[in-house]
Amino acid sequence: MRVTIVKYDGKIMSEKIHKIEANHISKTFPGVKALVDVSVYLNKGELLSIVGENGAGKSTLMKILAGVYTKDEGLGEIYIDGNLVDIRIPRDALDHGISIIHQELSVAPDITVAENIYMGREPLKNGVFIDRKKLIADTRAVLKEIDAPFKATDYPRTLSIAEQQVLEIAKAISQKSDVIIMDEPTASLSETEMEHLFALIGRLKAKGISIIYISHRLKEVVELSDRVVVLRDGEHVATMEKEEINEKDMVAHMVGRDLTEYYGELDLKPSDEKVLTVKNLADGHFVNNVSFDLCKGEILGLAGLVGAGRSEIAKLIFGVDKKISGEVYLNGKEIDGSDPINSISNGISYLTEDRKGLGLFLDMSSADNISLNVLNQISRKGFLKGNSSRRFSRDYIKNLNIKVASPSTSARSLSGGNQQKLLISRMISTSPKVLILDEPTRGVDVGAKSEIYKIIERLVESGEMSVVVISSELPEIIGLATRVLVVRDGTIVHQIKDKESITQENIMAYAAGMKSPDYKYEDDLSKV
Amino acid sequence: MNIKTNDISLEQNNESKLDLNILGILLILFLFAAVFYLIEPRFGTFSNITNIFRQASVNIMIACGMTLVILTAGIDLSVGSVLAVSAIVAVKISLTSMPYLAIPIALLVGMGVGAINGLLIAIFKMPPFIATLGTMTSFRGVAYLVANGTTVINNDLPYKFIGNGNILGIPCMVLIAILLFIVTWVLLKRTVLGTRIYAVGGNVLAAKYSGISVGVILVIVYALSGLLSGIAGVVLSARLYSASGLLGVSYELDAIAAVILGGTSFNGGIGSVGGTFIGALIIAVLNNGLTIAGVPYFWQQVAKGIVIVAAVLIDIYRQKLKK
Repeated sequence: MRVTIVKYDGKIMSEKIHKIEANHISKTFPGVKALVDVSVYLNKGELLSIVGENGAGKSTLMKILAGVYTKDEGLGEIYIDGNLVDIRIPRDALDHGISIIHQELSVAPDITVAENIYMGREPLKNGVFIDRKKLIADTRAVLKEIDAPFKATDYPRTLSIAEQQVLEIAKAISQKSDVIIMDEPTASLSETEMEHLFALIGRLKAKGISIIYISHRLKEVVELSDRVVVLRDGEHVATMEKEEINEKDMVAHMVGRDLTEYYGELDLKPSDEKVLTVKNLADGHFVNNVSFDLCKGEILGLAGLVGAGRSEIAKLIFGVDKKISGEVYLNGKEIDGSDPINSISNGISYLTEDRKGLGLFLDMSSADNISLNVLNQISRKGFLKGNSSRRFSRDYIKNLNIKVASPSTSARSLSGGNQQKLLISRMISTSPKVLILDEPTRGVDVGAKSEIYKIIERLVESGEMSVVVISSELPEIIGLATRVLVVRDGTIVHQIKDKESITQENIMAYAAGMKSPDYKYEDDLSKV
Repeated sequence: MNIKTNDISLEQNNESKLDLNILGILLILFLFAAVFYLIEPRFGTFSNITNIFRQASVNIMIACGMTLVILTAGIDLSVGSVLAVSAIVAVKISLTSMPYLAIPIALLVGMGVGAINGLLIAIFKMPPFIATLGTMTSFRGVAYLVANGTTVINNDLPYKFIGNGNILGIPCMVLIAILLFIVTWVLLKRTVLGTRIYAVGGNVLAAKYSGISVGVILVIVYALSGLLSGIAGVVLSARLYSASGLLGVSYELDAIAAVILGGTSFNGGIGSVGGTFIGALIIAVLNNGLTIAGVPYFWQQVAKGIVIVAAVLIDIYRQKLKK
């Protein structure tokens, strides 16, 4: 048994057994120290947040606790309820009541919720057959316990991401886990869904379940945490108790310096020369009646909740999705935007929000990832020299400060921020006139974030490009945009023209539907 | 884990990492060769080594095309049937009054048949396995029909040199195989098309978002696979002075085995034709060595299968170690 003695003013106040305590944990991968002497503890019913930039070691620590990785031999120890435990495989962690809910959910879409929850440990009849009645009854009990918004017999295919997450939590509860690790649970949730999740977290804590929480969104970390541990480059740099948790100090610990210029302060002077005009865009089922202009030297923010239709609008303009009506004009001339091939050659680039799924070629070199859209320009009659793409990418790697061992390094081995910079390089390599950036800093650490903002502002300032920024992070929209359009239910509902009025309140009032739509497109194309 | 270094060594070889993979399989090739040489010294004579290359050459030609196809995460089961159709067409035309059309038409037929595969896959979005399973069966039938169910023979084949001639002591068909290998290598590593093939295989959606016409790439790749099978068919018919509907049955399996032995990923986007070349040589060395060593034919089959599975197992284990 391990008992921690809590002292105050030299007097012993209480003797307390932590729910979970991990001391002096280290993890070395070939050539890299991912974790160096990290210690965390957590009491029953508490929420501990682990924060840090990408690559700081958050996931490694979680994976050690969940048995996905084993910690370095002979260093450190893990106690649960005061008992020394040995966690080597995921099964060990589950046996000790530790469940992990990964960022990428692993729900089987075409078997029922009940079958998902009890997968691999279905209640049996006569030792062979699945006891359906008990399976459903047990599942119902678990779902009721956490107030799940779906039924035991539903199919996960029909559930939203948020609901699938609740399903994973139900699975953890059914396994009698009393420590639940959540890795970026809000990454793809809308504001409302987040509220529901936070409420559920509150209920779990009240039941005495302890939660370890990883998130890039510092605001919610402040809101939820009883304790915050900050990691940087695998080292444990700070532990903040409830009363000392605030966003500014966390950021300072994370980056190791004061980030005074988190968002660049730039005074852009957009002209009223129109670069892009979109008129009456519709896709036939969701996006409808979308009209707006993008002026030269402008950063136009498309704000709205997740699922409001912002990415869908961008994809229609870019031509990866088919529009059924509407026109797109570039510099006053109508363009055929029915295909990304045309859009790119016309001068429109679209940075996808799904970096790995729709953007990167993970097994190709960084250089190829950068130069892929300009292969014809750097080739001679279709033939490339052995180093053409490396030569081409060199300037981008330097100017965008992409941290790679060499241009031949595969995209897979880069951190999120550097992968994003690869994609941004590819997007600007064709010198587009219009750059549409969809969640340009999703899953990117604080340091790289501020670098990406500077890159965007530099591009616009130089007058080469006009930018549309889509983001779910309101501070990002507020920090970057010179004008904002609020999107809701597949159409534009509001416009905020002057920089001073771009506030969280003004955007949310329309994004969440508290105020009714008042956007009117003034068709003054003739002025161009 | 952030990579802290930021030195951009431009001259670092892009293929250095791939070379390591190829080195591994090259080692396996030499290992087998050494074992056979110790068992039976006749294995190492110049004439036998020439023989091994000759036996490998048809498979190398087909496997070059198969590499392109598998790099796009596809598969082409129809190569053996395409080979038969092209071979029969070539021999039949050589018997007409316009024998000089034999090779061009045979190659066009091969490429056209391949393009049909590509169109089925690109336009109708059929899974490549199903599409080429269908064409494999149909074109086998076409081959029998064109040959009237018999063997078409031309004892005075105008292009017999291709299959039986030597240049500087090296069989012509070996030179053709090496030439096609080099052309495929250049295509993959030194052309825009090659980079796009890797891109389509690596991430087809990202390729679409990058303005690559995925459909066009697929049609080209399957047409090239058909063309290469067509060339293999012409070469084989030249070697045999004849062709029949039975020609090239199950050749697709040897070609796929060569590609997989060569380290190209079935999921697409990773691999090289250099590996395929060595993979085809390994298969030929096994065939030749086991025969010379006097292993009965049925046992040869068993051994070949085991080698393929073992080689891939080793590869999987090595990939795991890397992670």
